[in-house]
Amino acid sequence: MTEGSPGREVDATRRRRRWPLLLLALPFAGTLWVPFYAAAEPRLWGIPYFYWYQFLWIGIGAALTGAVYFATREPGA
Amino acid sequence: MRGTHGVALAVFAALFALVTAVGFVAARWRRADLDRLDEWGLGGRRFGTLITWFLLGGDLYTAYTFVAVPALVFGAGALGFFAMPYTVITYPFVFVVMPRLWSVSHKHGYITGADFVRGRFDSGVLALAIAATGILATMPYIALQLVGMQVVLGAMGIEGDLPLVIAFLVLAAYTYQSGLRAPALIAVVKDLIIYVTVLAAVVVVPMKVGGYGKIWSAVPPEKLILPPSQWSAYSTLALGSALALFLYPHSMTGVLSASGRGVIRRNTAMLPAYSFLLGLIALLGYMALAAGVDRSPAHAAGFARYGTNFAVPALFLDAFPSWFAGFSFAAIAIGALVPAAIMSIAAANLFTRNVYREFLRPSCSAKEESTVARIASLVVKLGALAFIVLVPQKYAIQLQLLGGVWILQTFPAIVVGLYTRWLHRSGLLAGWAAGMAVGTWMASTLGFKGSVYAVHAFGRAFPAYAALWALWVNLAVAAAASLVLRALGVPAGRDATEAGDYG
Repeated sequence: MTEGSPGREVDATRRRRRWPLLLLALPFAGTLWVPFYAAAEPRLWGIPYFYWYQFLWIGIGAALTGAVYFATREPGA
Repeated sequence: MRGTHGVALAVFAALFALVTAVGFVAARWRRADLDRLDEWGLGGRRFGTLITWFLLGGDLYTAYTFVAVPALVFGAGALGFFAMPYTVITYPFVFVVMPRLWSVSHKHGYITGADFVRGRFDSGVLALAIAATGILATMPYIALQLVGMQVVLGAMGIEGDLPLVIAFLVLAAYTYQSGLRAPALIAVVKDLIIYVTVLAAVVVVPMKVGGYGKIWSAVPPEKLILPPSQWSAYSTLALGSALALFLYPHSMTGVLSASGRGVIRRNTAMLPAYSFLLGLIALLGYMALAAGVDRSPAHAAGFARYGTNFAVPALFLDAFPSWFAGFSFAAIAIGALVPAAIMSIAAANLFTRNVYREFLRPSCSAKEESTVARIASLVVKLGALAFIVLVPQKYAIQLQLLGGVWILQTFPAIVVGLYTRWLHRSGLLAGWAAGMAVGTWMASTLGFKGSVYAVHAFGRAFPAYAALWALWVNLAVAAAASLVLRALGVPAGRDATEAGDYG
């Protein structure tokens, strides 16, 4: 990771599961590519797609971060 | 405006008195020696998950946000919603990066981001550049909190600068006394009344204008859905703002005051509750549009004076009974106090640690450090007050836009620095200077009115957030300079941190 002296703590860090962090890339993909959602249809309860889609991502984003939190639980933190 | 609103004003004043009392009492909360900077300026790094949630929520979702986001939606339509993807992606980023900053800062007693840069890269000058950027970006942000307050005071028929001056002096007094404990406790009160206000608004207002269907159909189609010409602006504004958010000194203060890494990690899953709230607040812009507040003669003077920022206060005045309008205005005004306090504390910490102790009094005692920070927080607030009273408001808005461009230029030193020391300290300084220059120049070509700059290449125009363009230049210069400096064997300084310090 960095130059310098790798100690025992670094080994512990490396042993920790890292792959769930990849899930955190999904919100970036889902919200930064505007063509995915720059449309009025389909509406949900009359709300244009553009809006409910982004509201939905707030929930998905929080759920993903929560899931990754539990998947990468740090002892004592 | 319809003269002074007595009932609204009484409710407003009562809530304001309540938070003032809370602000002063906060000094005794989790009592400790406030003559130490980490106690005064970071609340002793002891805030747990819930207090941190309130503190960061109150800190990041400011009064100005609550006025300006719906104002932008009211005026520009869909583009104003970039705040949604912005707050969706900022938390995954924070989840990964900020626990590292917390760990290394906890281990070494760092109070500011510039402290970390000082330790990591062994360069007081680079730390000074980071600190100065933070202070410069924060000052207009504090001033804008006053704008939010001014608008709601104006909506209640209160004219002149005196009430604003009084409110800010009261704020300055309890921040001086209680430090970060004051905004942390006040944030709890503020956030509760903000939640009540917004939830009431999204229920009551649609009833008044004839249902949500009416609201959506009142929005002109070209405003409702983002046109392709604005796609790249939308996503780069979201990305640049998301990366910049936690580089602001006041966000970092919130992060570093947490009692552990787990507190930050948990909060990244909990803070989106505020993003949901912000989305609803953005919708208030469309509700104001549907209600036609700008066509009402009662609000003509308010719009003439405050522009689209008056949209939400006008909507509240029309839709709510007087006492609840006062309640909601108090939410916005108190919403200005919390971030203003944290911002001034953060700027004071930067000045004390990275200017005063670094260059003026290296041997200063802990008590002296805390005293200097307290005085600096007063100076910062008075500066913001003078700015807003003496200088036309539009300059504060323009400077705050510029502040967002500037603060992102600390990304390579702080965020990249959390992972690697490959970038050389002098390379980082050169990159920072280049990024600041390019970003400021781009904003100047836009007359400082906007921050979306179109780069023309290959016969096409690529419009994007100027802060990101500047960041690419910054990173390119930093990397190129680092290659050269390393090849020449220029000393890179001693790293005070170890790989294990980052958790």
